[in-house]
Amino acid sequence: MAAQSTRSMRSLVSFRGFGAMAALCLIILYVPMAVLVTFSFNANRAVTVWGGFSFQWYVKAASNSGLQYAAWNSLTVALIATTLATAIATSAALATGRGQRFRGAQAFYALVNLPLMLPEIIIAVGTLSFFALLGMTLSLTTVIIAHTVFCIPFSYLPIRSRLETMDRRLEEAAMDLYATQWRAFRHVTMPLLMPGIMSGAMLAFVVSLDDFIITAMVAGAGAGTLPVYVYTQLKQGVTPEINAISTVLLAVSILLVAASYFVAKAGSRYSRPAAS
Amino acid sequence: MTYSTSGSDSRMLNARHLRPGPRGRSFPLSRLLMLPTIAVIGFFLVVPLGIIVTYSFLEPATFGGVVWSFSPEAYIQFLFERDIFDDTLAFNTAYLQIFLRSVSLAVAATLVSLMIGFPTAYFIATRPERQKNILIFLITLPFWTNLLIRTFCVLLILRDDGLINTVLMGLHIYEKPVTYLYNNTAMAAGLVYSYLPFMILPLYANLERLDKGLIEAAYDLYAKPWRVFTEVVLPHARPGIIAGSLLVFVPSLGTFLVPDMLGGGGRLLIGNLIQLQFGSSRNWPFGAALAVILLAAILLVLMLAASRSRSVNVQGGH
Amino acid sequence: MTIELKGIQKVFPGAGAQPVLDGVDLQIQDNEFFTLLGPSGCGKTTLLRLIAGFERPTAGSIVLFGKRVEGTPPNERPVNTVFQHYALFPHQTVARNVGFGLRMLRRPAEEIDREVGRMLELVRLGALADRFPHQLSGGQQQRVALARALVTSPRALLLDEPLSALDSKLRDEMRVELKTLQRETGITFIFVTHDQGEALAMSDRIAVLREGRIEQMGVPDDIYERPRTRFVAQFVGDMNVFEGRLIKPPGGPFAFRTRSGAILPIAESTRQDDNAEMLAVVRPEKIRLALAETGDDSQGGPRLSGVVSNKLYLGTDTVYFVDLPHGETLRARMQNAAVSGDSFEIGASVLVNADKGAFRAVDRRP
Repeated sequence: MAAQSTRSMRSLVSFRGFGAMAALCLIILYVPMAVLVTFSFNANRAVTVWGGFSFQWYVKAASNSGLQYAAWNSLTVALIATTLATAIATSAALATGRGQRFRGAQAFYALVNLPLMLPEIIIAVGTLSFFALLGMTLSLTTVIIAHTVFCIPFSYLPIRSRLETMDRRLEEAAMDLYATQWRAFRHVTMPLLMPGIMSGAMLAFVVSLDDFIITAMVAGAGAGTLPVYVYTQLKQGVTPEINAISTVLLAVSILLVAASYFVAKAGSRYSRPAAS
Repeated sequence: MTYSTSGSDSRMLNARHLRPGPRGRSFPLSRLLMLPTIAVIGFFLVVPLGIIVTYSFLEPATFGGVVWSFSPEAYIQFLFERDIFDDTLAFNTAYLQIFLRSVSLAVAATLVSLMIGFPTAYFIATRPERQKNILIFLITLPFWTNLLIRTFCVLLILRDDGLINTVLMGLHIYEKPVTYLYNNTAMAAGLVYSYLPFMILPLYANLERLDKGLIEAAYDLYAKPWRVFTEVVLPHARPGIIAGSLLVFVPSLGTFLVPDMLGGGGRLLIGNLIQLQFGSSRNWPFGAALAVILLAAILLVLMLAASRSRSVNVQGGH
Repeated sequence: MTIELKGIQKVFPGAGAQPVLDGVDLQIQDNEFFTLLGPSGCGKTTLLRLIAGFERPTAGSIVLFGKRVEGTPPNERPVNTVFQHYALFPHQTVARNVGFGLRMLRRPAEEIDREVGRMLELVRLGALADRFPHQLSGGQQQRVALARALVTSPRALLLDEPLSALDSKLRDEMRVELKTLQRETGITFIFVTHDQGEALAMSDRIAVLREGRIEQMGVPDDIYERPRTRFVAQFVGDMNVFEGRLIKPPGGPFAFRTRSGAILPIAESTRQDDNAEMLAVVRPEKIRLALAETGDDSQGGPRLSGVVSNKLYLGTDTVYFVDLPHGETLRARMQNAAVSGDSFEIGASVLVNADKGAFRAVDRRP
């Protein structure tokens, strides 16, 4: 009797078939990835015919010098672009995330998010034309510049949301207790902002690591990143080695995003106004 | 994504940023913190957009790049074919077709995403707190993974020796592999797979704020489930539907990887047509003109959506 | 004179340009427990923030301990604040929170340790020094906030509704604790609250604020027994209010004719002119009821009769609603002193008695 009544209570808010749709949605999102991961451990050379479990494609990939080179490029670009983008995004968040209202705030917000709103192909050809006009040779530097630009909104959003949920009285309390503006920032604002900054940096890192189109357009000879390498290989035919590399790339993104999520979450425990 | 501040917050802050001092009101220093962003995004993104517009009115150089003399040729080329011998213009729908195909595929992908995404978002929004967090995390995760690799995953599924054919032939539904790739359906499927999370996230954010008491109240007042859905849930979800649809439509319209990998050589969309002009076709002005047309189309859609959501706001009295 | 505010005006840009504070004058003495009382939006918190230095006045002067400070930032003012939700630094332990001010003042490490320890003992939190704020109960957080603000020995402590986040039992305890603390430390307390009971219980003096102005200022007894306006009368405690005119017979005592014609004796009036439109006010607990048949314990008070139309039983007291013959309703609050009986049924005819000074006439202006 009681069980029945709880069941009917739940079905009151939900609608018939919605749960099935949600399950379908998760299947759509995850089955293709699962296939990729599974076949990366396939001993068979044929990409989609199962021939037993094997690590051989990972081993093979690890000793591939072209891949190592691309991985090194990816890492360099991601590290530098993330650092630059996060620094810029932090300052942007401090300028706007504390409830400041001023003329142009909306325009500034739109500017920060512009890289998110444009289709990548437009950013790609625009940046390419820009470098061509300036007469800049395409190289790792041009890749880093392009990545810095589109990473800014990704690190900006978590930092800003962190700032917005921060109790502003904390800074006032610090000033009240004889801290100068700078020391209030250094001892109170900055430590509390840190989880947001870390989370933003990780997301920027992931986005930089994952980008293909823009990189492919503005990378000079020898400046190809991992996705560019994967794309080139794919165009020559699908091999199990590609599966292995792709799986590693997926795993890195997922780990970083999960870490970013937990950093932000663990940090929010501190920033919550103490319960009363 | 909303940007609003309550009055009392800004009061507090105004005072703090106008650092108390004998000078009285001074320019808040924190405003200067906007400069790096303005410089970097302004110089490396806004200026390039201007360059694209400029390039679209120039003449192509033989080996890529542009010749600096004004010409509307790129835009003419979009609609007409110029006869090489007598210079006459003949209406040519080839590029227009590519553009229209891009638009219809983007629309289709948006609709399918909405059909799958809405029930999903609603279902998640009505779960208990813990399940909610896990589910929404699962939805978000693919968004952060590599788009190239995800498109490659679709390829693995749809190939002649891919999962679908293997399974169906294994079950002896049919004996010879069916070609699923290299057509509009494959591209639409790729788009849905790529951008489905973009639909769910804003919808979820919206539906989570829906007061579940309203649904109970509607049932209490004799509404049937369908009426509850159309009278209570849908009106509340409208801003979320608009936001989610935009987030799917805009990148779908500009997609490069989906036609490149799932569409095969013959199936161009505007995204890889643009790439082609800057790549092997070496017609930068035409590529730039295509980019401007794509940008204009997106702007048009955004403006339509903005006016729609504004009218919603007026009705809702927010 | 410890703290002196003159002609304080505060207008926030944009907010309809309506001043939040308008012409506030205030003097607060050394060692005083001074309360700013008013409903939300009356400007009391803004006034406190002006004293703390978080805001600048639009006009007027603030003198702290003989020094004008309108432009001085909060870190250079010898006053500390206990915030409404405490604003404890969530990333620092209790001990680091309490030591924050001393560190900012660059005191030697051993002095900081000693003072923090002493202060934590004073607020009975010695055992929790290494906890983080989110691991503490509301009452404990409250005491950390107090310790943090007191450890630097400020000359005045500003408290912004510090008890509002506590449940009612804890609130009662903290009232006593705060009052004791103030007496022992001898520091001036400026206390902001919307709770009139809190204000009456704790303060040496109270300023009642309303829409950015001080409505009345005085000792608690003054505010309660001799409110000068309708607002103060009704905001502080419960009050019966009758509209009507003052009657001043030559030589005789004041009286009051209510709008419907009842005559009330008036002990004290804020105005003296005959036939002035005023309000007569009387506290429900000053009124005594007696059954009409038995009834005469009058000591020369007013003679009114009426019918009990409703009653609310509140435990210690019962509130009776008495309909007067001319149409007004009077509330009377009677203590339930006896174990049983002594209560009036709905519909009973009663006589209304009160001590001579119970009825007062105040200004009509809202």
